[in-house]
Amino acid sequence: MKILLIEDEAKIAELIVAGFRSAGMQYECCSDGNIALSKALSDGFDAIVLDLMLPGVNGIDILRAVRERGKLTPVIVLTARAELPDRLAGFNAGADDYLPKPFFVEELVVRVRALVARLRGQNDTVMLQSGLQLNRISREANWAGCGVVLSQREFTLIEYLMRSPGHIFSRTQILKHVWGLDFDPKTNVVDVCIQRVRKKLIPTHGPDPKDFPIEAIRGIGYRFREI
Amino acid sequence: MFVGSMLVLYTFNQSMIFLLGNPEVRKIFHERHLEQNLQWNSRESLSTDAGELKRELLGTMRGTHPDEVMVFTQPLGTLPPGQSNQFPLPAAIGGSHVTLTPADKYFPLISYAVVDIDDTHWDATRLISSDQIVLSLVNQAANERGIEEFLNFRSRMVRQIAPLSLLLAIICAILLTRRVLAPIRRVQNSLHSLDNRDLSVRIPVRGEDNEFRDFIVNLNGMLERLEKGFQQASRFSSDAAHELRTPLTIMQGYTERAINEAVPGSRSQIQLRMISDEIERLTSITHKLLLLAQADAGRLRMDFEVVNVSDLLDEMRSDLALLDPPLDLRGRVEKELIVLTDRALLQQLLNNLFSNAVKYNEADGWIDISAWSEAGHLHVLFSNPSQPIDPAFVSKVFDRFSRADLSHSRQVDGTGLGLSLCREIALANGGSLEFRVLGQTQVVVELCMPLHR
Repeated sequence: MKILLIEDEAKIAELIVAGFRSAGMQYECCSDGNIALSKALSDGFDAIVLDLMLPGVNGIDILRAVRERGKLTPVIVLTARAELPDRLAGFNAGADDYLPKPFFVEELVVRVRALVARLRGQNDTVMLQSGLQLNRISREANWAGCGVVLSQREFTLIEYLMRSPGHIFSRTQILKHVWGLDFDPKTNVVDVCIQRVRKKLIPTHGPDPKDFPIEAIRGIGYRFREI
Repeated sequence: MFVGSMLVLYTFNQSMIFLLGNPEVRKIFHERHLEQNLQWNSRESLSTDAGELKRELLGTMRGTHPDEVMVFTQPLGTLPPGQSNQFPLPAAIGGSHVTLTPADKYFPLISYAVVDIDDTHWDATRLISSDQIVLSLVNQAANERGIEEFLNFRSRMVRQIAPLSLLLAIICAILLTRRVLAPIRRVQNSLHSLDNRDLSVRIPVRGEDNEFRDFIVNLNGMLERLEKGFQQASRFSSDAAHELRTPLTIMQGYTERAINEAVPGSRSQIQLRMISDEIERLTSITHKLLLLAQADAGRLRMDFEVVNVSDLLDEMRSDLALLDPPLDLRGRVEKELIVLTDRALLQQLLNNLFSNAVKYNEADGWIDISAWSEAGHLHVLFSNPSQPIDPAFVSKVFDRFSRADLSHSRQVDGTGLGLSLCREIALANGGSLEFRVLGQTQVVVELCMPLHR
C-alpha cells in the first residue's frame, strides 16, 4: 500500500511518516502544492492524506483539481477546521474522510487502511483488529468464538481503543472521548466498563485471557494491542 | 412629549388672548382722539367746517354717541396774546377758558386737557393748523365704555375660542409629536431588532432634519465600529484556536510516541502521560473557545438530527452507579423525549452539566437528573448539593473563565468556559439555560428547549 502525504508542517509529517513506517506502508511526502497536484494526478498511490492548510495553496483547490481530472484516489483530509461548514466543503470537493487536528497517528493509519479496503469493495461495517471483531451497526463483538452485543457505552469504548491499535490511552483520555467528561471524577468508571467487556467476551474455557487484545498499562491506562 | 407640546401650545394661545387685555390697550383707546388730531395735523388743508370734522372724528370712534363729541373751530390769530395755551369755550358750554398742555413735545401744535363741563369729564384736544384752531372734546365716559365693550368682546372671544384653541393645540401637539418622534421611533425599532449578536443592523436615513440625520449617521457609525470590533474579536479567537491546533497536534503526537516507546509502567512514562493529559485539556479549551467565538459571531453551525434525550440521560444515570464514591441518584427521566438538534453540541452541553454536578458535589452527596416535557418544550434539570455559594457569583456564572470561589480545598479541574458554552448551545437551539441556587447550598441548572414535533 502506497500513500501520498501532502503536509507542509515537517514535524507533523514526520509523526505521520513514522506511523506509516511502523504499519508497513509505503509513502511519499510532499509539501509543495503544485508538486503535490502533479503527484496526486499520477498513478501509483492507493490513498492520499491531504492537509488542507498549505502555504500559498488551499488544500481544497488541490482536491477539487484532482477530482475534476477524474482521479478517484481516496483522500483523507487533515484539518484544523473540523467544524461543520469546513467539513461539508471538504466532502463537497471530493474528500472521502476527514480527521480533525489534533489526531492520533494510529487512528490515521487505521482510517487509511479502512478507506483503501472500502475502495476495494470490502465491507467496513465490521472492524477486525488483533482477533477482535466489531460490527459497527449491530454493536456485536466477537473474540475467540464468543460473541455478544455490547451496550452503547461499551461499544464506544472498544471502538475508540480499536481505532488506534497500539496506542496507550490514559483514563483521562478515555473519559473525555468516550464519556465526554473533560475531568477525572476520580472514579473507576473506565476500569469497571473494561472489566465488563472482558467478562462478556472471554469464554470461561478457551483461550488464555492474557491474549485478549485490551491490556492495562500500569499507572497509565489501556491499550488495544496491535498484533 | 405629547402632553408637553400641548401645554406649550395652549399656554401660548392663552397668553396671546391675555395680552389683548393689557393696560396698553386702555391707553390706545384714550389716544384714539389724539391720533385723529395727528392725522388732521398732517393734512395740507383742513376743512373749517366743525360739523364735518366732528363726523370724521365720530367715524374713528365706534360706539360713541354724537352728543359725546364736540368740535369747535376758530380762525387763527384770535387768541389773546400771552394766552397761547388757552382756548375759550363757547358760551353754550360755560364759556370759560381752557388751559392746555402740549400733548407731546414733538407735536407742540397739539395740546391736551381734561375739562369739566356739567360734572362730566371731557378729554379736550386743541390743534393749531395753518389757518385755524380746532378744539375737539370727547366725553371720557364714551372712551371708558369703548374699553368696557372691548373687554367684553375679548372675554366673549376667549369663551368661544378656548375650546377651539384647545382642540387646535391638541391637533398641533399630535402632529408635532408624530413628526418629531417618527425618526426616534424608527431608531428605536432598529435598535430593538439588534441584540448582542446581530450588529449588522443599520438605521436607514430618510428625509430627516439635519440634526437628526447627523444623529442617525453617528449612531450607524458607532454600530459599524462595534460590529467591526466584535467581528475582529471573534475572528481572533477563532484564528487563535485554529493556529493552536497544529502545535497541539505536534506536541500530542510526540508525547504519545514517547509514551509508547517508554518502558511500560516507568516513572517517565507516567510523567509523559501527565503531560499528554494536559495537552488534552488544552485541546478541549481550544475547542470550546472556537465554539464560543463562532457563537459570538452568530455562526454556531448546527448539524441537525433527531436526538433521543431520554437515552442520553439514561446513559448518564447508569454511569453514576459506577462512580466511586457513589452519589445517590435522584429524579426521573420521561421516556421518548425527542429533539431536533446537533448531537455533538447537545452532548457537550449535557456532559458539561453532568460533569459540574459531579465535580462540585459533596461527599456522600446526591445528584438529581430529571427530564420532562411541558408545553412543547423539553426541560432537563441537574441538581446537586454544593459548598455554600456566594450569591454574587450567580450573576456571573455564565461569564467566561468565571469559577465559583468555593471555600473547600478540593482541587477541581475546570476551565470556566463550560457553562458559558452551554448557554450558547441552549440559545442556538432556541432554548434557555437557567442557573439557580437554593438555600445557598443546592445548585439547580435547568435547560429548556423546543421538543421535536
